[in-house]
Amino acid sequence: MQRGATILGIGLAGALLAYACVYYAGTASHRALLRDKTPELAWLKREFSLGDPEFAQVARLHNAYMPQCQAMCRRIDAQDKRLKELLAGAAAVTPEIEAAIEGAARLRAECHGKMLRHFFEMSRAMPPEQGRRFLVWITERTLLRPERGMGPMGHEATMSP
Amino acid sequence: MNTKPTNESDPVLSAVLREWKLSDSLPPRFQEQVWKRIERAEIPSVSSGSPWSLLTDWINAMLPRPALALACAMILLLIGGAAGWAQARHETGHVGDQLEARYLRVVDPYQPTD
Repeated sequence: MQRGATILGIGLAGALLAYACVYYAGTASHRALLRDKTPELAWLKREFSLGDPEFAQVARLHNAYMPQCQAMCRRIDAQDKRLKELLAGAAAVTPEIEAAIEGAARLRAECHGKMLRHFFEMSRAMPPEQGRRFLVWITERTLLRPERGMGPMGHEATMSP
Repeated sequence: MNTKPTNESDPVLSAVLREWKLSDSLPPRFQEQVWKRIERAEIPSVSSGSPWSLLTDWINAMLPRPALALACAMILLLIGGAAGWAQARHETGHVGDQLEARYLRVVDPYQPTD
């Protein structure tokens, strides 16, 4: 092989090595997140710059909230199933359907109330600035999601063609 | 090649040459220009063949020059590093979005499951 081609080959190998090194170094922290037992909480710790004591408190609150949330999920599933069954066999809106819709709305309100209480607890466990940021972030993506039609823009978003 | 022609056989010519004085000075950067011309002349001429052979001839002609080889290596390293950085940034952004969505699904039963 001629000298120029050898030099070019070495240059290309160097470029590949530089790519691999920078990529490996740049993704190291996120690979560590994914190896965590609860990657979503590890992400939360990183995203909101939580120290170890704050994170321990946040994780404790999260773990305490999980059984409530799962119980709520089961109730919502059961409510949805009942409404679906009623709608499947109905030709018009019956009192049972109206009651099921009201039940679903009450359940949703109850769920939102519990969620919001949990979010406030979580925000209080964080440093003040991060807590405020967490509260804005989480409410915008849960209770104030435009698809729900609950936020100031939500109604417009759902009604616009 | 090492023999120098001498004027010792012709005393008249020798005398004239001894009296000859150069009044003009050399142009600026004369020596540097001469070396550049020598350098250019030493580069092997590229053959007229396929584009590939033209390219390889050009590479073989240019890269052994240290300055160009160093510049080429630096450019390749920079391109490799920049590509790695961009790819890492893209991947970390994607993982961050996935973990954010995962957290939201964990805490909100009404979160879409897509």
